[in-house]
Amino acid sequence: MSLEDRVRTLEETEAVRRVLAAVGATCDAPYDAAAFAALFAEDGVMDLMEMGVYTGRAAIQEFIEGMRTKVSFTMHYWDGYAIDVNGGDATATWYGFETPNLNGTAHFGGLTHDATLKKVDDRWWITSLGQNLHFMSPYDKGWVKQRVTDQTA
Amino acid sequence: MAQTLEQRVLLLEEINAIDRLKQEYARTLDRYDTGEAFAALFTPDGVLDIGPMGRYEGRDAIAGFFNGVRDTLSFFLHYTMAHAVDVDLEANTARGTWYMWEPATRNDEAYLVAITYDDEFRKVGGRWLFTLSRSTYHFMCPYDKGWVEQRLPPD
Amino acid sequence: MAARSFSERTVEQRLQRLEDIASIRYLKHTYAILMDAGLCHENEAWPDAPFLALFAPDAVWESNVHGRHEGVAALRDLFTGWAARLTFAKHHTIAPSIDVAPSGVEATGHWYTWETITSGGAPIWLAATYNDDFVKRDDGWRIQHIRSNIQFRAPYHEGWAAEAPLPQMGE
Repeated sequence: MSLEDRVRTLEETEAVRRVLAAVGATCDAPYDAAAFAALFAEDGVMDLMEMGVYTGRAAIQEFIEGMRTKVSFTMHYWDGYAIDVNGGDATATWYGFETPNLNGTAHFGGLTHDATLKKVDDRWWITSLGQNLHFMSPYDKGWVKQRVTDQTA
Repeated sequence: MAQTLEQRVLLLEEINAIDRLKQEYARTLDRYDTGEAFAALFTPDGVLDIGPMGRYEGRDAIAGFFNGVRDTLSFFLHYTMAHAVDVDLEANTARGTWYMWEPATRNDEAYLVAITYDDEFRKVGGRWLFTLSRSTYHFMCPYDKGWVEQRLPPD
Repeated sequence: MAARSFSERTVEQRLQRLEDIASIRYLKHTYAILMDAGLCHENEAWPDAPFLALFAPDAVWESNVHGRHEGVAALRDLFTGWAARLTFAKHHTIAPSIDVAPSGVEATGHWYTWETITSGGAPIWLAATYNDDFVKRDDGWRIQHIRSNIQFRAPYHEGWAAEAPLPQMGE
């Protein structure tokens, strides 16, 4: 690889990190559904396992808007990225934890995430976003006593 | 000290590669891969120093430790995040420090762990490997108690 | 160095930006490490050098809870005050988003921080975001302005449901 190609790879790795940071930020304070969905490619897919699979920006935005009504406050801590860039394609995995208030009760969430991205028209777009929900526990119980609270209930 | 453009590019690439190795360390642990897979991230004479949980020298000892750890720790997530990495391009060695945050299940009880890693690395055959991973435990406390009431496990 | 549009930059200019981002990330983590060592009472000289040397002489530290503090002397008083109450702290300061200005000597950065602290002998959770300014001097990047927006500062055994979010600066 030429020096310029190597610099470009470093730049794109940083650019992908920034897009993923923006995804997390739209979910704080809580959930700007339109801004979240706008980071996806038109046919992008969000796979939330038991919470459903959502294809396309409209479906993604609708689901996130539904989450908003149940979450009065949250912060998304996303880091521990492993990003691979290959030309105009990228994959990433990372760790996330969250501190949502669900129906007035503080919760701790521990998740890992994965994404695929594509660069089109000089921008990176999310083509898929997935998560593994390890726990989403009421704060006063912790993940051994209650591993998951159904967030959509 | 990086001087040429090529050395400057290489330095940034090596910093990324070392953080990437540290991320692989975290993921290898969290998916409960084999002890051998975890030990393969170290040089043959590498050292794993985990404070109250002991010090292990060489791949066999490191693999043995990790293969046994799930008896006590049935769940964990190693959030390995903020870091500062220094690389010696000429010597092909490096040092790095990371902050790590870890929810865990220990003997069926929820625990919270906060660690600083001070790690050392060597590039061997084009690959970075750990020569030392040293954990300083700030706390490893039962979730129900918090780090003031019980900073470290009594056992 | 004249500011140029992104596409016109030379490889060296593009490399310089990446190096600056890496330097600022390193600087912010050094801030966390030294801050925590000081609040854990591991360093008698703290907050003096090397910690205060991370800041520009006219640097500002402000938060929605602590108010605004300008200049090294004011920062010294602020941090010394914290060390009088705190015996333990860990600033998990993560998820950097760093932008370097076209001038190459100014930058901004955003981080999330998750803190476990012991204040007055009691464990406390603290969650905040940082919006910081940095300046590049002859001897490297320095912190010019820290803006910390604290979302909650909650006793460990109570949690944050009642308090979060605190009113933020800029709202």
